[in-house]
This record gives sequence, C-alpha cells and structure tokens, in this order.
Amino acid sequence: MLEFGSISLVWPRFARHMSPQGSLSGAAGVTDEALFERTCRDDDHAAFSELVTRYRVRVIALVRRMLTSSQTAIDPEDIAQEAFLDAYRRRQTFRRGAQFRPWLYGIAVNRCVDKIRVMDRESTLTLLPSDEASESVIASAEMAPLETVIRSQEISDIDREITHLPAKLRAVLVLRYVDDLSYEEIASACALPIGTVKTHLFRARAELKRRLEDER
Amino acid sequence: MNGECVRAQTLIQLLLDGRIDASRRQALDRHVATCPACAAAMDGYHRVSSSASEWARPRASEDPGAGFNDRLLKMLEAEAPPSPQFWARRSWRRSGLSILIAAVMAAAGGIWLANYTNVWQSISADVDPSDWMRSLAQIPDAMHEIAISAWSALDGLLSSVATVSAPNWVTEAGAAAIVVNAIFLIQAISNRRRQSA
Repeated sequence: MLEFGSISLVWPRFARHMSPQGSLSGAAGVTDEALFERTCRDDDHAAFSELVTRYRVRVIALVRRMLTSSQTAIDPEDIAQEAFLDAYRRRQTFRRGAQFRPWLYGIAVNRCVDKIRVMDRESTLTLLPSDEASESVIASAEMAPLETVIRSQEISDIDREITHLPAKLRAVLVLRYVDDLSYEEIASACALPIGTVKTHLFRARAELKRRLEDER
Repeated sequence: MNGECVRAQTLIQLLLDGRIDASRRQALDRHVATCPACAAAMDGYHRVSSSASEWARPRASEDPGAGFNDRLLKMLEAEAPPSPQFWARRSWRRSGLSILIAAVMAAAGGIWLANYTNVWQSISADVDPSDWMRSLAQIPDAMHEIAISAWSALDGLLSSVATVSAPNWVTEAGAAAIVVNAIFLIQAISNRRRQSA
C-alpha cells in the first residue's frame, strides 16, 4: 500500500477483494485448489491471503510441533511465513488436480527439516521448556482434576520425547495428528510411498510408547 | 509373540488411524480378548495416540492474527513478478511468423540446392584447382600440397552432399521447423483462450 499524506492507494488486485481482516470476501465456499489456481493464473494476492488465513494456525502449529520445545530459539511464525512464501514462489510447480493442503504442509515440513539439520550441525539447541500444550489441557474443564494432571503430564512427556525421534518419523507423526491427514495425504506431502508412511507411523508410535513406558 | 500377535500389531495401527474394516476389527477384538500382551499393547498405543493427538492439535492461542497476512503480503509485493513460462512467452503472432519464415527458407533452400548440383559440376569441369591455386597465391610447395588436398576433400564432400542428400536435409529441417512452430502456435492460442476464460 502506498500512502500520500492522508490518501492511501491500495494496489488494485488487493482492493478488489480484501476485507478488513485481510481475507477474501465471499470465499467461504471456494476450495483451496480453486483459490490457489487464481493465485497462479492471475497472480491474485487476495486469493493467496485467503489461503494463508485458512492455514496459518495449522502451519504454525505444524512448525512448532516439528521443532518442539528444544528449538525455541527459532520463531515458528518466521518458519511458517517462509513456508507460505515458498508456496507462493513455487506456485507454477503446483500440479493441476493435486491437493493444496498436503502440498503446503510438505513445503512447511521440508523447511523444518532443513532448520533442524542446520541447528543440529551448529549445536545451538536451547533447551527451554514450552508449557503451551500442557496449559491448554489444564484449562480444559471436561476432565476430572486427577485425570487432567495425568493427561497434562503425558502430553508434556510427548513434547519432550518426540525430540528423540528422527526428523522423518517426527514429520509423519506430526502430519498425521496436526490436521488428521490420511496416509495418502502424508505420502503426498513427504513424497513417500504409502507403505513407507505406514511403517514410519508405526515406528514413531512404537518408539514413543517404549520411551514413555520406560519413564514410568 | 506369535504370528497372530504380529498381525494384531498391524491391525492396531490401522485401528488408530481409522482404517480398519469390520471383519478385521472383530478378528483383532477376538485376539486381544485372549492375549494379555496384545491387550496391554493396544491400551498403550491408544494412550500414545490420544496424547499425541492432543499434543499436536492447533490451538486458537497460536493464531498470530491478520498481522501475519499483512507482513506476508508486503513481502510478496516486494518480490519481482516471475518471468512467464516458456510456452506462455510464445505469442501466436510470433509463432505464425516463424512458420512463414521456416516455410520460405525450406522452399528456397530446396530450390537452390536442386540447382546447386548443376552449378557446382559446371565450375568443377571448367577449373583445374591445381593451376588456379598456384597462380593465385604463389604459395610454397608444402602449403600448396596441403591446399590441394583440402580443395579435393572439400570438392568431394560438397559434391557428395549436394548430389545425394543436401536438398533433402535442408527441406526436412524446414519441415521440422514448421512442425515445431505449429506446436508453439497451438500452445499460444490455448494460452490465450485460457487467459480470456
């Protein structure tokens, strides 16, 4: 947006569709793929902004779970922003007929894996605990107090133990649970065969189960 | 752990992911009812899966709000627009012109080379290359021998190409250029239609 004194000039392709919240008006029933096709075809930033609105929480959550509490030196919002930028820059590589959601998550996961590799290489891990996940469970009024505490402890354990999983297993597990992706969608996001996705999921759960049981 | 237990482990994973059908579910339940180890494993996997699901679930408190979009859009605005793809760059006018030029060149090349054979043969009959080279350049004997050899080689090569296949390959190259440019033209027209749609 350009500002001249009190006059604001909005670039036409924004002004046409933008609502005050920065999303596309009347896009509720439009599929992700249709919006992304508009982004690709017309370079429509408003359509892309609508996709960002739909997915920003989930992508940030995905990044935060991938990097977990051991890498809190990294701001998950920055990585999520890079993932969206990557998606925009690589929009011409999006295959017609493909699903947008696993494609976007695949980009985000690859960003995280790259970041984990760099951090592992530089050994700059800052071990600061993140209580966000357990806080929300404590706040839940559905459970009895004792059960809530146990559950909170289990989630906190998961948050800690998942850092011991290799990045590829962690990626499959996070994708499975962060937005309930199917085997096929995970396979598409990670560019893996479905059989490998199943094996990775099994190994990730088995490893977590073993570690959690060892602690008790 | 026997074969039934190994199978049960696989079925437990399918159960956790909601991918188990009714008959397999019954088989799993029957096995778990008689196998305490698998029952414990199933209970353990259920707890892990439930906790992992709760741990991974995105929370409203993680939403950075519209400011996230604003920052992102500013970054996008700052980026240079991407160059159009190769196909999109081919306008239908340019493709049509390319076809026309290729057709003219192919025809002209074919006609010229069809006559070239006769022209070349008449030159070769009138001129003795040995005398011509010696009188023109006054070059030393060693160089003279090399020049004569080169002349003979060139003469043989051009004669064979011209008489056997030269008109054909030039015409074929022209035809190939027409086909390639026709593909460009079709692509350019379909791009134009898609954009107008």
